[in-house]
Amino acid sequence: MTIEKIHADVLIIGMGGAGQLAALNAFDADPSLKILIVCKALKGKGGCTRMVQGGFNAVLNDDDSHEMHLMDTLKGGQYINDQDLAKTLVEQATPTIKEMETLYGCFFDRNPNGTIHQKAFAGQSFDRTVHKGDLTGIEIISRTTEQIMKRRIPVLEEHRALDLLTDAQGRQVVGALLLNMRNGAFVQVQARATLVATGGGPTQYRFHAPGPEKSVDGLGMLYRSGVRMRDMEMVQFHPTGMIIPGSVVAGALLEEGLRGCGAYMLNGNGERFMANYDPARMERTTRDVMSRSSYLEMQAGRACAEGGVHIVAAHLGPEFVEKNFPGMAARCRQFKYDLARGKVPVSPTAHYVMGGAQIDKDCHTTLERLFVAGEDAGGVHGANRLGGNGVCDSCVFGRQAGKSIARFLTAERGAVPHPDAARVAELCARYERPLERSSGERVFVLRDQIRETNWNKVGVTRREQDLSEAIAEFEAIAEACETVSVEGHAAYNMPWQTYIDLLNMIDVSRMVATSAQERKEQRGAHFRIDYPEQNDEQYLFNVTLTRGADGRPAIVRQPVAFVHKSLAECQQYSKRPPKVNK
Amino acid sequence: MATSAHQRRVIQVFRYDPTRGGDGHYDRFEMDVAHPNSTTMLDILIRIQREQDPSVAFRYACRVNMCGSCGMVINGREGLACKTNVCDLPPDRDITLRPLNHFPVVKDLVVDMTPFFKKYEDAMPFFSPRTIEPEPAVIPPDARERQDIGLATECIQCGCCVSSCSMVNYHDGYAGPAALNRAFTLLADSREGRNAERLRAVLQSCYNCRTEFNCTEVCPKELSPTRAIKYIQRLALKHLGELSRPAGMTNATEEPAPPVAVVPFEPVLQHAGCVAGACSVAAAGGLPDDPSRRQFFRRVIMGIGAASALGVGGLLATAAVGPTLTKTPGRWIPISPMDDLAPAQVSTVTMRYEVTSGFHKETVVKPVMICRRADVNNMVVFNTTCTHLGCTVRWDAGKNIYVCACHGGQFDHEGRVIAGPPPRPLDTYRFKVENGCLMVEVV
Amino acid sequence: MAHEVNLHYRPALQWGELDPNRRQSTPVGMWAWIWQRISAIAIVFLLGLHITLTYKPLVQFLLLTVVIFHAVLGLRVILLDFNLVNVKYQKALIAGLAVLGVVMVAIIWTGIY
Repeated sequence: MTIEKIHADVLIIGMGGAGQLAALNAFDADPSLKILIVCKALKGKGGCTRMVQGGFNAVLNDDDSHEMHLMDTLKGGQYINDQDLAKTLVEQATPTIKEMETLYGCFFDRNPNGTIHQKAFAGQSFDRTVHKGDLTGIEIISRTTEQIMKRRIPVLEEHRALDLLTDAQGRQVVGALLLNMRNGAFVQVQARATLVATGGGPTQYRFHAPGPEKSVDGLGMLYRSGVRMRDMEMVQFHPTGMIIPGSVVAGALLEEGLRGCGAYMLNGNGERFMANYDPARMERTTRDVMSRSSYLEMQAGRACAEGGVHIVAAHLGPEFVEKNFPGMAARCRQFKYDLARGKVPVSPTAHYVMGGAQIDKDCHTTLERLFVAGEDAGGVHGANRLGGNGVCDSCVFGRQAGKSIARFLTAERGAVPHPDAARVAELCARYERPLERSSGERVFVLRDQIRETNWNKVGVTRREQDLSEAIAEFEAIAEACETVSVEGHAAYNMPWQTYIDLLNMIDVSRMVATSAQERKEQRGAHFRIDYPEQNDEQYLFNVTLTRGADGRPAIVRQPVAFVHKSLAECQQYSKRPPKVNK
Repeated sequence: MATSAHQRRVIQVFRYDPTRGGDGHYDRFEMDVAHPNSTTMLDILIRIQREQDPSVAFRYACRVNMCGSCGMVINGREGLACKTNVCDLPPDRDITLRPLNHFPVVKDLVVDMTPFFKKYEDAMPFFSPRTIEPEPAVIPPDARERQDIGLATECIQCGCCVSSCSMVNYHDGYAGPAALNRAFTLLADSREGRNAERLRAVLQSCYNCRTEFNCTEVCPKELSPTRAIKYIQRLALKHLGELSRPAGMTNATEEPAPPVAVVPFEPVLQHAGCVAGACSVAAAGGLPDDPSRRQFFRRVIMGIGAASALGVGGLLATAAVGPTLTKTPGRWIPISPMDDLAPAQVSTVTMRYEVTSGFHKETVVKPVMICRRADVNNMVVFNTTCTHLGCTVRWDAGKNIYVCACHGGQFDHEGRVIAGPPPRPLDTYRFKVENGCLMVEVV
Repeated sequence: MAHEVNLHYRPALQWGELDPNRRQSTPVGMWAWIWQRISAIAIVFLLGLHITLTYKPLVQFLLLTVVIFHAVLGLRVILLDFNLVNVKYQKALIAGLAVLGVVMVAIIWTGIY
């Protein structure tokens, strides 16, 4: 079998905010670069940037400061952020959002005087979230996609990256093996620099907020390539994912602003249960506390009939809700819930992977020629991400990566080693195996299993025994995966794509569970029932890992480097009373 | 939650297998839907794939109406699979799912969107700043341009509008509703620098719109590309002068147009009616009233005038002259046996005959007046139509004259005018007697 | 494993092709367009009749009706083109113009004949 081979200067995997901004910035730095974007969906339609509702945190006001944004981010991340990255995030967010307007043509919501409006978001000391109604992501991604068209940067649509290709020593990444999902053909790309910007998307949980076509592909392939990963135990759960019986839309978000405006959360008995968990802030508490409290209520048998808890906004006044949350009201209406007058059943929903490849502020990883940006990278958000810092991370680090890759390729003149042909052939054969089996395990059953295991044992709350069991179950699923059979031709074969998704989910689940075992405390999004207190004495380190010889994660603890802000400063800042809106 | 009744539904799914080719066909699936209120078409397809036929192919990504990947034709109408719930479709009918029109089908419900993006790119959908500013532009939310643009920038490029448009396929050069909608949002944007070029690129397209509103009807984001197209047409009217000047200041590279070529494009959408400032472009300082523009106007108007005159004139002339050109020979119509006509009297007899004119056939029923004098052969057959305005003339035996009731025309027994407005004597028919029967010639 | 890489895409489905439900879901704006074209042809036809056959009440009534029908649909496009009516009222506009057309036919027919 011969496979198509493509050469490029820059291979960008993923076409969300990070991938696009990297391509644009690399092109603008050096238009002669041969850039190739690979995208699992159609042009500009994949990725989570498009799904952003809330907005983009950036310091634009004279009364605000990068210092304050940094402290908010570190406080949100419970001090284990990579401070270099967090500082880059807040400092570069300002020019990034301005370029969105002045270079790419976004138009965000305005104040009556014509300056950019910034709204309030939880966990922030200043109203700094730039937004476009409650559909900010569409504005950002549509405008940048058009800029990609303008520069005629080639995009391979409906091609997914399967694995990164390394040289024989495994020290540098020389390209990637792709799969053309439309016709089932493999494509080998050899590139002088490769950027992984697929986004995470923890869809390995029963309830998940990102679209189901996301499947932690980037994290899976990074892990398999041997990159050092960090903070993989940190998976954010958003407290208000809708419960929709019989629908894949289940888990889709209701905006956090609802709670910010004073919506109540009620358990099955109709009680405002937050009185028992965080009486000071009640429903205005942070995402991690809110999610955990809802989950504990559900576990304690006080769930509502639909199996979750209720969010109620009716007391705010139907007109107020319809006017301020038209998108959310419409989303509820589609499923015959009445947000403005009734109550809507919600559950915590897997939302964001804080962990990822360990990078520096120019997006270099521990492997040469490999760059990572966006949700695939870890360290920016520490143990918990602030609302509005997600799209900010993708765009800022995408932009950093684009500039950094252009610099790297200007300086670097060496030839790229060829990918190992035998390795490529072996990979192709492995991925095709399910198509060749006439009978075997059913992939959808296995994917349901991993979703249940993750939800029940590596989810909002964790305990030692559950984690051990989960790891064993992941191994069993991995083993069952070896006997999966997929019917039909390779062309646009959706069960086959689900099989490949599942391989990535298994690797990421292993990383999450193993890392979660390592951290025996509560911190941010990570909650151990058996160790429910935050422990700043022993656990101010990051759990990093690489893929060991046996395929299992090999863990190394790295102490947090307090390079810009000391621990004392961070702890002091955390004690300040929260800003209360309205 | 409002509980909804369990339903058993039949789903017809379009199938096309790219390894086999052919025209495609529908496959029938039956399914129990426990929650019709909350089950979307996407859920139906996912369930078909999991429970009945894993080979069915469809495309989706975000599942919350934000990415525009799952556009398809649902019961004859374009929509997003993730936005159409089972309860939205009549329960007594099958659900029919079919790929979008006007795009090649990859497999089953999956189409190749390349033609969509090709046309989209043709409309220059990308922002090119007039000048690179260090700070975002200060534009109040109630500025005219932002009011005009409204939510039109929220297009998610799902292709539903292009599929629903009955024109897009007949005109290769037609960029289609989505592309023109995006062009409109840039044409209205005061920050944009390449609008003269863009207007030239898309204007031809706009005249392919037939104002059918199909795109507006189906748009899942409830935008109106029709509104955008009309906006561009009106904008072009205001900038005719520029459009008639040769292009060629910028080519399709990334540089913004030189600032000199930029004329501020006045928004024209918002008003209903021609309010001050919108009518007079020249007065607003937008465009000089240059000779080429006037000439262009004159030519257009003269052209239109000539064409209409030619058309209407031609039609009238053909209809008027046509019948006289085809000279039909006179026909002899039997009127009455000679014996029934009393001598030395005027008899009024009704004649009937059929006339065929082209495809039309009718029976003419018309009285004639026969004046038979004492001498049998001395006879006149008068036409009863008054020579004034065509009323019917009758014989007044008392006064021995022919009278027209309409305007008081009078004729003596020879048919000569003796009073009133008639300009000439009564018309007469040629006649003959055959086998004792009076015959009259009609044409 | 050998699988064909060159697959055949099916040529694009055309508007209404293989679609049992298309006609019943054709929107009113499209009907307005179609009927204006049909009425244009009918006008040419009836105008010929009218000229060859003077004073035929049926022909005249039909011609009057069709001309007015065509005219109000043309008025619709003009009103929309020049934004004298907001496009969001396009459906109401069709209904309104239809009523106007009927009224005009009634007035002209009863008033003049």
